[in-house]
Amino acid sequence: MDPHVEIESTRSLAGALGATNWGWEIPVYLFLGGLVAGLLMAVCVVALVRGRERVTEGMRRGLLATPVLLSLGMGALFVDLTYKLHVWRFYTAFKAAAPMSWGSWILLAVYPVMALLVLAMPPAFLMGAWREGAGTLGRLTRWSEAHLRGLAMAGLAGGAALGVYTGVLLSATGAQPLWSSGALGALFLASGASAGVAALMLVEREHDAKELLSRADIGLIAAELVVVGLWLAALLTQGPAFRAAAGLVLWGEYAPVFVGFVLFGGLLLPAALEVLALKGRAAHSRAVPALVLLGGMLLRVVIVYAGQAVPLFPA
Amino acid sequence: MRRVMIIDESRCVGCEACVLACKNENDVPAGMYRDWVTQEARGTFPELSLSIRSERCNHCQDAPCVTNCPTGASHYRGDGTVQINRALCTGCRACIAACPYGARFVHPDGYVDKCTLCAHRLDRGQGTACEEVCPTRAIAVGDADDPTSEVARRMRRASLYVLQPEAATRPNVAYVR
Repeated sequence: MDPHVEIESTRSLAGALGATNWGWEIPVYLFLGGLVAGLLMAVCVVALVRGRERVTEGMRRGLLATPVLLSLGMGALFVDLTYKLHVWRFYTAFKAAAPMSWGSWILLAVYPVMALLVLAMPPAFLMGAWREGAGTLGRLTRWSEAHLRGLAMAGLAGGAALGVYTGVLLSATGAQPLWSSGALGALFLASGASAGVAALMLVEREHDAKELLSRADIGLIAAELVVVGLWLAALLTQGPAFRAAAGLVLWGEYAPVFVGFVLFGGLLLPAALEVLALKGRAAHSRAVPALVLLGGMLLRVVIVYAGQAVPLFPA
Repeated sequence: MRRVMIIDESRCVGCEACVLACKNENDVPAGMYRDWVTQEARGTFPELSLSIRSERCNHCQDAPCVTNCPTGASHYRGDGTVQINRALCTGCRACIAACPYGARFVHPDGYVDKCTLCAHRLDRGQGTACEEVCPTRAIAVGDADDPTSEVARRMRRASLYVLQPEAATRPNVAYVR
């Protein structure tokens, strides 16, 4: 703040309320939403590019987890609402200018796509005679298998929309400098995709698939680092409020978590370990995807909390 | 009709009668406020100046809260003011995150609340509670489209300004020095 200006709010609303607007529920939802987006996109890309027979048991289990994880995320969103009885109001309107309205409908639209993809590519323990039955489930299964390509494209589009919207949700609010960047949509998409691939690496047992996922994750981490760099460079080259916001995560209160656990522990270190594993100088360890997932979660915690700590227009 | 509030900063003495009147009129819960008073000291001794402002929702013409509201709960009324339909509010608080003025809060009943510019009083032909109680007549509410109104007269003054003009929200609440 300009040293020659002193503002004292005797009845400041922000001062009176004190609390952070959005708490832990939002980063938890943003992480789970991004993770589901990543899982969906990764499995759908494999199905589209390499064919359904190359979708491994681990990938099928990852796909099965998507509705569960998304439901947990939506549960966190529900907990966050202060007027829970009105939750159904999200579905009585569609507002094209409101990212949260888009998100509500995207969430609803991806559920049937995830369910049909699971029917078409179930894990081994769900295989059974019911798939050939004459009942509704049997008919849906046969339909899903016959239309797998279209479903995979819908899953890819739905996953991308889910991943991008979580970032746009924050950037569209416009009153917080840390969020005031179009890069957030790309950052959350890359981070979600990386988290999805990392989650698949955790459960994957086939060596070739591990190598494929590892290569994909290195590329996604590289893309994420580029977007993080662009986002921070844009903040640092704007006005004082933007520089203060960047400072908060680069050398301020949130720097230990952001620089230590997100940039180093969640991106650079796992990428380096994955390169070593691909060159045969280290084993594929489950610690690597675990670090990526932890980094992805902490990225959202830092952005949500630090974003609210520096208002664009100080009261 | 474009309903505006023009506050003459040079008349404000910071008595906070507007804050109390608003709380009484609108039954605002304890610890929460629809309006508040800001004191801003500027300069270096001995060249100092003090300005006092009564602040509230700016009833923006391009309101980020209305844009970001997913259900249409935050909306523009016919007179240009920004209102909240409690029946549509989910308490998602996207509007609070979007407001550059920090003018909104969550009511203990769950919905988001803020200054309504005393729409219920204006509909009865009365002034807002803060306007009527202001002992120095610093606050004036009226139709910006009526050139004979007090607000139109104040709006012609060169010292007219709005808060956070860089937010490009085109507030209907403005100040004169």
